[in-house]
Amino acid sequence: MIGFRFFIREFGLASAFIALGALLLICLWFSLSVQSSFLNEFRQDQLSLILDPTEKESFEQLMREESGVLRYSLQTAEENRDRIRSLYPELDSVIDSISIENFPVSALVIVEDGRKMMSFFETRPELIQAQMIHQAPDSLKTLISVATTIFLFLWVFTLILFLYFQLEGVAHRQSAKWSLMKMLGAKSSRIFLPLWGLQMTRLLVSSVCACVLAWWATSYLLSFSNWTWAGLGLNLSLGFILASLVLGSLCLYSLFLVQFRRVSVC
Amino acid sequence: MITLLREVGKLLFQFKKVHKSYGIQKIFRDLDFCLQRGTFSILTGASGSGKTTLFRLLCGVEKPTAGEIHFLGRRLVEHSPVHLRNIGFIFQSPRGLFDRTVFENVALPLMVDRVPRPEIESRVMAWLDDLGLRHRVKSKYGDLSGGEIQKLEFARAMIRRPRLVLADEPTAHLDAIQSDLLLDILWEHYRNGASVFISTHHPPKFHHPSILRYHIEDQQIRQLSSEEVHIPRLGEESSVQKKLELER
Repeated sequence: MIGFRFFIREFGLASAFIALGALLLICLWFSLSVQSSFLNEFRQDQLSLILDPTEKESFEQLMREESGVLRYSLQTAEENRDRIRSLYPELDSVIDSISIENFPVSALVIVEDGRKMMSFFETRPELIQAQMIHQAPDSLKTLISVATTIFLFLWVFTLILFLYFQLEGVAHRQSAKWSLMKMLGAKSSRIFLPLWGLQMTRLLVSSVCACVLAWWATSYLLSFSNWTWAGLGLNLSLGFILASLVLGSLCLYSLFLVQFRRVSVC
Repeated sequence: MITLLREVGKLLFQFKKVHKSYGIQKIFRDLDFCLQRGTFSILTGASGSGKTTLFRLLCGVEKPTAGEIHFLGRRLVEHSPVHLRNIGFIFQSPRGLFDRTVFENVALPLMVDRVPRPEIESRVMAWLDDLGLRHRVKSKYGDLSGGEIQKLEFARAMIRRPRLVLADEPTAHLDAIQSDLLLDILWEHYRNGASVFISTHHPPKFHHPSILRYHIEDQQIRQLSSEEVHIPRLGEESSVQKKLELER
């Protein structure tokens, strides 16, 4: 019965560690992929402006003089009409019937600080008739950060439990030996190192399983979506395994010291 | 022979106003006690008088309720665990590894010290020969009798040739001949420069000026004067020894 309970507990902890590790890896992969593709487009702030057609030269002069402007492009009324036409080919006849004066002259301005530049344009109403800022959606960034933090926390918590229950069992079984070794003046490292080797092997196997699970899950996600992201990279997997081992070693040593201090000399 | 006179007088342990109690039961009250280096000290006292508690205090396992214990001039708690390597502990109750063999149990201190394997083997076998345990070398600790366990514990404590031996009732489970054998070994060890402090109900049946005798009573430790010790001087045969000779 004790053996069965031990097996269930071990199996449960290992499964939780592998599942949470895989979820953390998927979150990291998703975060990195979004950063490198979607959010990369919003690395700099973009402003869409509707210009007064008669002030086109003044606007261009202003863009050349303003230091906060990285680059800009102007779209004439004709260009904007053609773009609308290409976007909505079914409205072709309607668009043709609209006079060219009704299409705006616009500009796309890429700036260092979008909010600051918008405030500046508000002081020049003779040039700019309307403006709009394009920034990366904060909610997406927040969602990814929160999900990563939650899975990181859960994974670390499971890692601690994963090691704690093992160590508690070992300390219970080997308390006589630890006590005797302590009495003989053995350094704690004499007991810790063999224990460390065994637990790190366990952690390594579990981390590799988590990587395999995450790799399978990301491949599956990519297979039915039209994202063009790269799959789970080797660097990310190796980094995860290394982080598991380093963090695991630190946790194990801290837990071991607590257990070792509890064991009395006799 | 005589004891390391040059070292006598240097303090190994010093108890300063030590109180020790378990709940309402007081074991020691305002205890001032010194254990000197290079002495062969024997502690006697009635059962429950606090002999084992004193040894546990000396080992640092128990902490005094009040007062301080100094070891080699520093507070005992300030010493690193490594200092325990210079001390051979023999406890009343067994401390061995039940699932390991006699050889492994005796060799453990040398393994901790990373002594080369051939030296471990020769030293362990020598001790097992001396104590009559050679035939049990491959037996599990758990299969030994009480007397054999006590001899194994003794061998394990002595195999490092510690500079200080703290022995709590090392002969409690042994017959008179075996007890004398162990005490002879301790005496030889002492003559080779070690300090020995033992508690026993069966003190050595010889007298020597270097032997200091202490007695626990009324929550205090008192050094016995030579008038209070009624045992023959070294070389004289006691009535017990004569009886044993006749039995042989």
